[in-house]
Amino acid sequence: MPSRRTELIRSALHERLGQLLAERVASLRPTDFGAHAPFVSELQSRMASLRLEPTVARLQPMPGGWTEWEGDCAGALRKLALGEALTTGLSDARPAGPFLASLNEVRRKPRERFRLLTERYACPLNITLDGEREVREHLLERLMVQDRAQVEGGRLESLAVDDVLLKLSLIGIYAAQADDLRYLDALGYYYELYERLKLTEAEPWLLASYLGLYAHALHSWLNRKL
Amino acid sequence: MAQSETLRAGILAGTLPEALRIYDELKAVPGLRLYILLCRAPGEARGRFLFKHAARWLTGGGRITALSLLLAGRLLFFQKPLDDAESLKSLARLHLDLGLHKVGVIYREATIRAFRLGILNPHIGLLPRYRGRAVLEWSLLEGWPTGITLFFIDQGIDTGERIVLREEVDVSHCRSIEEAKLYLFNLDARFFRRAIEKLKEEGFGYERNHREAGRRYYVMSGLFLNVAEKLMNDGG
Repeated sequence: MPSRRTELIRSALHERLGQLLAERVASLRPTDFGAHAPFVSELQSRMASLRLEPTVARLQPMPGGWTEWEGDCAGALRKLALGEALTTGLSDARPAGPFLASLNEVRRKPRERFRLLTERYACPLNITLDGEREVREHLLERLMVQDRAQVEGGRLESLAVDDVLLKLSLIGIYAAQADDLRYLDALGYYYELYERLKLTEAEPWLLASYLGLYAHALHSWLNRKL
Repeated sequence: MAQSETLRAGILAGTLPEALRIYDELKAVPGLRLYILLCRAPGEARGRFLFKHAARWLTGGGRITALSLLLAGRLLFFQKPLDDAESLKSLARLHLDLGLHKVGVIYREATIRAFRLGILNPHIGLLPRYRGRAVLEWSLLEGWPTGITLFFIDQGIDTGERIVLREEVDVSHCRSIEEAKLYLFNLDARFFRRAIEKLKEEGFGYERNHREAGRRYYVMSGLFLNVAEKLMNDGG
């Protein structure tokens, strides 16, 4: 029998998922997304079925090792947000230590950070690997400390919004698979700051992919034992 | 540490009433010499800092205690940040064994090293699992016990390796998270006393704060905060 705690968490997640799908995703205007309008329309359509058939969509399981796929990070995030699987193959592992050092070096340069993250996570499923733990913790910390202070203080530039949404999308993939509520909660925290996350000219689709990945993460938590 | 050895401790506080509350709890501990170090909050103007303390001294309780400590050179005002060279010199002159953290500042290495044993922090969560912010809320949400940990800080977020005292504290009688936090915060003086008594025990050994055994937590979303609040209302 589920505990009161489990019931309350499940009920909160269920309510959030319903609101996300009915209000946020449904209210996106594909025409605002330029060349990515078809992606947004498709996301709305897939999310409608996610709502109707709660056991259909699942994010791709964690890979067993460092993985590559034929496309880039942006393409992968859009596919994953739609609930599609990536065709992947195993590749040589890449140490996280030097990458983390590079990320720290450019911590005040969102464009550079964005480039580094999209290069390393050309196949974003790799963010879920055990060896990426320190990177994940770093992204979570950036989101919940420095970025959050900027967003709440209204000091977020357009470039930084893309960087924030990319980080949210990456941790969203992990949140759907991990037994760690902090990652799911970071997505939820930004959901509550939604009005301050504006569409950017450079990568407007990231806002939609973040919402899609958050929906999958919520869905995944609702379909497991808490 | 020998029972007979006198410990020199500085209460690092932002306001006189807070410091005096801790002082009152600790003053009877044998072999303990207490100092009150009033620190300026980051961003607080000097004039306001002095006016605030003067006004509280005139209107609050403990005036005689504060005056006698002031005359004895055991109540000091730090108008500059604690890591400023002038402040560090003042701290060095006091030859303090430990600091008792009750002020909203972040300590740099030089400040921490100004205290022979370090600065003791009463953290309202159970280490090593719960580091960071909103740890009471996260403990409730994850179904773990609530409690207090007294440990010597380092420059990281609740990563100081030496735990002096760690104890579960039941907050189920509280009606809200805010009330539960206040309840835990107000146990600081009592926990400081017990930690100091432990430090003075013959053969005392620290418990290690294993970083890998825990997580750093952050502020909580409204969604989960609401769940934690309901769990609190249900009795923890």
